[in-house]
Amino acid sequence: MNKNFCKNQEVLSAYLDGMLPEERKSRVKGHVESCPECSQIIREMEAIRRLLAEYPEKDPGVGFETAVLNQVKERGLPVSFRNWSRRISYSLGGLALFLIILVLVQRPSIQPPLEKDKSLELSRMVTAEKENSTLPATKPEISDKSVVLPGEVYPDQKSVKLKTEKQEVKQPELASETAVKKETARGGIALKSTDGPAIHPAPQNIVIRNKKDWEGIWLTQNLTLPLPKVDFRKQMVIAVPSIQNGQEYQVIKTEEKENLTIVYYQVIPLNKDTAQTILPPYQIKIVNTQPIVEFQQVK
Amino acid sequence: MNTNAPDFEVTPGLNFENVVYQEGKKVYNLAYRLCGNSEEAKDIVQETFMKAYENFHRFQGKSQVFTYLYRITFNIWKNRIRYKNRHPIFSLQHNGPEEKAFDPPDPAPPPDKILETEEKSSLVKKCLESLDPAERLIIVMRDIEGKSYEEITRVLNCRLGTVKSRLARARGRLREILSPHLKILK
Repeated sequence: MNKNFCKNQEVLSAYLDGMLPEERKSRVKGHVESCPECSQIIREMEAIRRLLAEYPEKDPGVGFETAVLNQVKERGLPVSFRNWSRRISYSLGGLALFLIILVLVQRPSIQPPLEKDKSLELSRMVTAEKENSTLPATKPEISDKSVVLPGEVYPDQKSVKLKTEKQEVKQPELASETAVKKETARGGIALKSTDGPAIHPAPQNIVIRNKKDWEGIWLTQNLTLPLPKVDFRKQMVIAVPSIQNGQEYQVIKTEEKENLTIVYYQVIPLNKDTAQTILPPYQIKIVNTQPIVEFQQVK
Repeated sequence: MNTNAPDFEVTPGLNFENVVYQEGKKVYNLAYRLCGNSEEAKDIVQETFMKAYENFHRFQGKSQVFTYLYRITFNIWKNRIRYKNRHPIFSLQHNGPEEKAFDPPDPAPPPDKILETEEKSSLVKKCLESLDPAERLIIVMRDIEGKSYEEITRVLNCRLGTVKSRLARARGRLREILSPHLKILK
């Protein structure tokens, strides 16, 4: 038995592909024919190669190449011109960017995107006591239907558009300990209380159905992590504030039913004496898309 | 196909638009076989052609176009893996349909079981996921696409001996993983 290449996978692999020099090839061939272990290895490699060769091609779909070309054209990338003209273009671009930043810095401070961005879908708990509620700087509109602006439209996604109706901001009232006001609409948010003592003011929960809003809320999280990918054709994002109205809110679980997702959360009163945890503004959960989302507080 | 698109005329006789139509599907298949995910593969292809377009004036036709594109695709995919490893995605729960943990092949199937095409594809996909990036590319190019050793060295920009040893190592690894199935495959 030749110890140089017996059961040597590298030699046998090269032999299988005909990549050995002629002289060595004939020696290896002679050995393989007489060595049961080496011939077993060769047979197994051949079987694996056959399996791999049968791996089918995948079709990217109709119009794929056109879509790629269109993207390249949209970017308008400069191609065959000299280095110096590219340098000038980039320098001008850099200068323009610098001027824009300079202008922005000179302007008064800009409010956080979330408060001014009315494209986000907001839920509003109307039974909150006035002193405990923390309204954003711009008063949200309360209506029987939630505000949903059309997001990015995919071919198979039905865009959801609802009209907003301006109504007066009503003062919340608690008729009884179990009083509840329900807001339900297509694409909207409903709230139901559980049996129990006092109802805590509900948090301003958010349901996100498009990439733009998702990017906006991710920015508020102040995390250095990249934006998690969400396929808004099939998924949506639930965002529950971590701390609001002097309470900490914790998402327990979500439950999917037909056309409905229920988000169960509990309230943890903040105690001055306990150590404060630094939390991102929202707890995020990516779930399968449903037209209606309910938020339920549990004990 | 518009062969008179001045935007894409970069080198005499070499039209970028033609390149996309001729090589797009090949590049997509390479990307898909590397990453195992069709959506990610499309992203990678898009990025590949963007980069290829940016640097097309440097491509002087000394090597085949697909070698140039394959190299870009491989580098983009490798960078994505590196980035994902350094920055794991934060989520309470992500029900992404294509994100599955590595699921090793089933142990010793019944001896008389014949593997259907889909089962074979699934098996191949799982095996590829077990290889490191360079090994995966080599196996895809050599054993799936039938490319030559020379072409592989040009894509990886390495020596012939390196390709040989990596290929052997990859095949050895596949032999270990597929040993319960090898009787059926033979």
